Amino acid sequence: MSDLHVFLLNGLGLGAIYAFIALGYTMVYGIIRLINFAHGEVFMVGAYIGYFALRGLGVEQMPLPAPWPVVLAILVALLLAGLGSGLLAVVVERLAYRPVRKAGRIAALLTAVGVSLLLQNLTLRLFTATPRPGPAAREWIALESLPATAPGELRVDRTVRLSDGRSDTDEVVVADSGVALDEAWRARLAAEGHQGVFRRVELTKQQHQLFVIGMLALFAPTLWWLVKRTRTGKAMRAVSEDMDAARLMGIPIDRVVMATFFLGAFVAGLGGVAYAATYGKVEPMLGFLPGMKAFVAAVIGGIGSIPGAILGGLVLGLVEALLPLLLMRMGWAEAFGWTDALAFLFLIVVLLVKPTGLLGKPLREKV
Amino acid sequence: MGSDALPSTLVLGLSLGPTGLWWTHLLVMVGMYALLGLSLNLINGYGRMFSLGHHGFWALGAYAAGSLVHHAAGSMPGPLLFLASVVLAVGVAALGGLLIGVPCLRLKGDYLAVATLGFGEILRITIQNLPEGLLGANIGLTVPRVLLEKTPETKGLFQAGWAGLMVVAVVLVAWLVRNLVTSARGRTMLAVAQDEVAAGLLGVDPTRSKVAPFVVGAALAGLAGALYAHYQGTIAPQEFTFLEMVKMLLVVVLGGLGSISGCILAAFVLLYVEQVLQLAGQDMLPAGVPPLPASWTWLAEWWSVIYALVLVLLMIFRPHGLLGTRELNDLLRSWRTRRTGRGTGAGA
Amino acid sequence: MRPFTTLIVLGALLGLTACGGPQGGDGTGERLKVGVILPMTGDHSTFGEEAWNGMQIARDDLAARQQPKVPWDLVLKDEQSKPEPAATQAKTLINTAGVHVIVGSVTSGITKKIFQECRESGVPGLTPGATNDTVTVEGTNPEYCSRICFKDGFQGPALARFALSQGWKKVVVVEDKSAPYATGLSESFRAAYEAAGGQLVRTYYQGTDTDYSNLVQNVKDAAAQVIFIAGYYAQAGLMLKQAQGAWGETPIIGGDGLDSPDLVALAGDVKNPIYFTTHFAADDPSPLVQSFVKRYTERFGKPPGAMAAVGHDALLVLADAVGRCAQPTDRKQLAAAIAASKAVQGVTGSISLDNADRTPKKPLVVVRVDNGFKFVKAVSPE
Repeated sequence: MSDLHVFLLNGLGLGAIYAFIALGYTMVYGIIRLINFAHGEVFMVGAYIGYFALRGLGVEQMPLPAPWPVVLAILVALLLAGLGSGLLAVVVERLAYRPVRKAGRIAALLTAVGVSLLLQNLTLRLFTATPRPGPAAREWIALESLPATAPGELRVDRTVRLSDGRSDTDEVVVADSGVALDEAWRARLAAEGHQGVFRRVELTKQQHQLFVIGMLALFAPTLWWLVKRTRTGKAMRAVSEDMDAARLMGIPIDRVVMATFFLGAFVAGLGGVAYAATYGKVEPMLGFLPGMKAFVAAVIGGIGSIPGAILGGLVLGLVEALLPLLLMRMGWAEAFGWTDALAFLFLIVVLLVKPTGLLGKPLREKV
Repeated sequence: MGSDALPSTLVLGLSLGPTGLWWTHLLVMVGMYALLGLSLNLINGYGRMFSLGHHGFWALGAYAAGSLVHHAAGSMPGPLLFLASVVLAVGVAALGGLLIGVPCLRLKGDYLAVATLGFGEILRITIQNLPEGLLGANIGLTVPRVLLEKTPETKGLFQAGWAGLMVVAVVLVAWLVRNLVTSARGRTMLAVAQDEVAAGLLGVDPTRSKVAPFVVGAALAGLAGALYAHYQGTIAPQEFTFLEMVKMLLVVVLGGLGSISGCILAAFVLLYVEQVLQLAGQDMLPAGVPPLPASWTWLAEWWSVIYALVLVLLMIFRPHGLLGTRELNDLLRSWRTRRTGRGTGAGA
Repeated sequence: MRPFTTLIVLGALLGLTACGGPQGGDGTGERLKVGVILPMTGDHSTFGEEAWNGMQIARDDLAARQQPKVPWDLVLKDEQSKPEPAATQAKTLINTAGVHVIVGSVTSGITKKIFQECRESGVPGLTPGATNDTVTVEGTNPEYCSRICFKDGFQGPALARFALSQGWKKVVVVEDKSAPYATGLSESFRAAYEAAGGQLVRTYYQGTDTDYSNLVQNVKDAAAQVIFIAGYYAQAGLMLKQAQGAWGETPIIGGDGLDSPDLVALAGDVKNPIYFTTHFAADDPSPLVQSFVKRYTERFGKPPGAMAAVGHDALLVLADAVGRCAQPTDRKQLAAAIAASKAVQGVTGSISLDNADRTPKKPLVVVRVDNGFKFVKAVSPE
C-alpha cells in the first residue's frame, strides 16, 4: 500500500495549478461577468513562451557563479511567460471582448469560445500538434570544463517537425546528466562550432510540485494585497460591485478591466510554465482541459472570490487525486480511467447543491 | 454491372456518377447540420438559454439507435428496425434532456453552459470506458445497414435515397420548430426568454417553460444522431467532440439566433466551403461542382484558424447573426419592394 | 409558411443538380489510381510522415525496376488523426478520383472507417499498420480488406512469451482505455500471459491525460517485475518522464505503438530498460533492410522507424498483386490478387496474405531502447 502523502502531494500540486488559472477566471468574471473561455489558451501560450525562453535565450551562458545562471534563467522564463500572457490577454480584451461587452451574455460567451478556438488553432498551425518536451532548466558547460574520462552519450536535443512535413533539427546539444566526454567528441563538437553543451537540470516531479505550491504561497498574498490595498485593486472591486456607479464616480472602467485581464493572465502564464514543466510537455491542446477544470475550481470556490479560487483549486486537485483512489480501494479497478468524468460530475453536483460555491456571494438579478 | 437485372426505377440511382455522389453526400451532411442547428436554435436562439452540451444529445441519439441496430439486426424486418431505432433515439435523447434539464435549468446563463458542457464530456468519456462489446468503446460501433445494403451496385440509390430522406426530415423539423415558436406555448417561451423575472410576475413558471424547448431540442438532436448513425454505418466517440458543438453554434449564429431558413442556409454555406476547401481539396472536385476562386486555396491550410476567426468577427460585427431573427423570405420581400421603388420607408 | 417555399426551391435546385452529370463506369484506363490516406497532421503525424516517406522509397525503387506493370499514381490525403475526416477522404477518393485501391491508414480506429467505405464501394483496402484483430474481418465483403502488418492477436502473445522468457512472472499492465489498439493488445497479452502462469495487475489511463501522478503511484504499488505499457509513444513518454525514479529500474515492455524517436525525447533520462515489439529493426543485418535503411537515411536525414518499413512494404505487396492481375484496374480482381499474396519479401519479413483474415504471420522483432532502437530477438507469432 502506498503512502497517502504521495497522493496528497499530487493533489495539492495539481490543485495549485488549477488555482493559478482559476484566479484569472474569477477576477474577470467578478468584474464583467464573462466566462473567459480563452483563459486556458492564455495559460497554454504562457507554457510555450516559457519553453522557448528556456531553450532559446541562453541566459544559462552568463558568466556567474554556479547556481545563479540556472536560477536566473528560470526567473526570466517565468517573467516573460507572465508578461507575454498578460499582453495577449489585454490584446484579446481590447479587440474581441470590449466590442461585445454590451451585446449580451451569449454573444460575449460565444466570442470567448471563438477566441479560445482561434488561439488553439493558431498555435496548432504554428507549432504543430506534436508535443514538445516540457520547459526544463539547463546548465551550460563549456567544452573545456567538461570532465573527460569515458565516451558519453550526446544527442541533438530534438527534431521538431514543421507543418509542411520538413524536419527542422534544433541545433542544441544536450548531454545526459553525469555524462563525460572523450577527446573525439570534443573534437567533433568543436568542428561543428559548438562552444559547449547544455545539461538538463533534472528535477523530480515532487520537486516541481513543491515549487508550484511554494509559488502559490508567495503569489496568493501578493494578489490579495494588490486587490485590497492598492488604488487599482479598489477600483476593481468598485467596478465589480456596480459598473455604472463606478463610472459615475469617475473610475476609468476600460483601464480597470484591462488591468484585471492582465493580472489574471500574468498569473496563468506562470501556472502554464509550471504545469508544462511538472508534467513534461507543451502542446496546443495543453490548456483546454486544465482551463475547463480551473473554471470548475473557480465555481466550486465561489466565482468572483479570490480566496475562493485558491480554495476551489486545491479542493478540486485533491478530489481528482483522492476520489478515484478511494473508489479503487473500494473495488472499482477502472476508477482512474474516469477521473475527468468524476471531476465534471463533481462540478454539476456543486452547481446544483450550492450554485454560489463555497465562498461566493449570491449574485442578484437586477430587474 | 447487373443494371439490366434491376428494376428500371433503380437506374436513376445507378447513374449518379461522381458529381451526383458528391452533391448527395453534401446534401445529407448539410441536412444533418441543419437538423442540429434547428434543434439548437430552439434552445439557444428562441429559448435564449445557453447550452454547450448539444453534441452530447447528438451522441446519445446516435448510440441509442446504433446499439439497438447493432445488437438486434436480423431480429425484425429492416424498415421496422430502422423506425424502432429512430423512435428509441428520440426517446432516449428526450429523456436525457429531461434528466439534465430539470435540475440544470434552474441555473442561469453561464452556469447552465458549463453544466451542459460537463454533461457532454461525461457522456463521451462514458462511451469510451464501457466494455467494447456494449458500445464499441473507442474502436467504434458498427451499425448494420437495415434499409438498403450499400454495395457498388446500390450506391447511387443509397445516396439519392438518403438525400431525399434528409430533405424530408429537415422540412418536417423546420415545420415543427416553426409551429412550436408560434404556438401559445412558444410565445410563452419567448416571453420567458425576454425577461424571466417579468414572466414570473405574470404567473408563468419560468423553469417549466424552459424545460419544454430544452427537451424538444434534445430529442431533435437525438433524431439527427439516429440518422447520422444509419448513414455513416460506423460511429466512434471521437466524432462527438466539443469541436462539433462549436460547429453547430456556428450554424446557429451564422444563420441568426432564431431564424429557420437562416439556419439551413448557414449549414449549406459552412459545409460547402468546408468540403471544398478542407477535406477534398480543389484538385478532387468532380465536374459540375463550382470550385472556389484559385486565390482562395491558401485558405485550405488555415481553415481551422479562419473558422474560429469568422466566429469571433461575426460576434463582434453581427452579434445576432447574418439574418438576425428574420427569415430569408423577409429579406427577399424587402429587396423586391426596394427594387420596385415602392418601399422607400421600409425600415420604419 | 414562407420559409418552406424557400426550402423547397432550395431542395429542388439541389435535387436537379444531383441527377446531372452521369459519368460512365470504370473504363479501362491504362493508369492505376492508388489512394493513400495517412495521418499527416494531428496526434499520429509522426506515423503518417514516416509511412509516406517509406512509400516514396518503395515507389522509386519499383519504378527503377519498371514495376508495377501498369503505371500508377499515388494520391495522398490527410485524415488528421480523426475518424470523420478519414471517412470523407475515402469517399472522395473512391467517388470522385475513382481510385482502384486505397492504402491506409496506420491506426486501427481510423482504418475501420476507411475499410467500411472500401467494402461498401467494392474497392480493395490495404492497411500498412492497423493491428486490431477485427479490422480485416468485419462487415459484409471483408475480402476487400487486407493488412501487411501482424495483428494484436499475435503481438500480445509474442510480448507475453518474451516477458516470461526473461523470467518476469508478475506484470502490471498500463492500458490506454481510449485507444482500440491498446485495449486489443492488452487483452491478447493478458490471455497468453495468464495461460502461461503469469500474474497480472491492470491499471488504466486516457489518451488525453497529462497528469500521470496517480498512475505512477499505482504502478509502483503493484510492485511487479515488469511494466507493460499498452498505448502510444506520446503518452508513454510523458508517463516515463513523470515516473522518474519512482519505478526504479523495473523493465518496461510495450508494443509497436512505442516505436517513435519522440518516446525518448519526451521521456528524458530513463533508468528503466525499455523493450518493445515492432515490425522491423533498423540494425537488422539482412541486406534488404540495410539497403532500405541506407537510402532512407540519405534521403530523409534520419533512420526509418517501423511505420516507414510497413509503408514501404505495403507498396511492394500492392505492386506484386498488380503483377499477378490480368486486369489490375478491375477492383474485384485486384482485391483477390492482394488476398492471394504469397511470400512477398519486404523489409518487415516475408508477407503472405493467403489466410482467413488476410494478415501475415511473420516473426515480430523485439528491440531495446538504447541510443536508438537495438535489435534484441525475433519472436514468432505462434
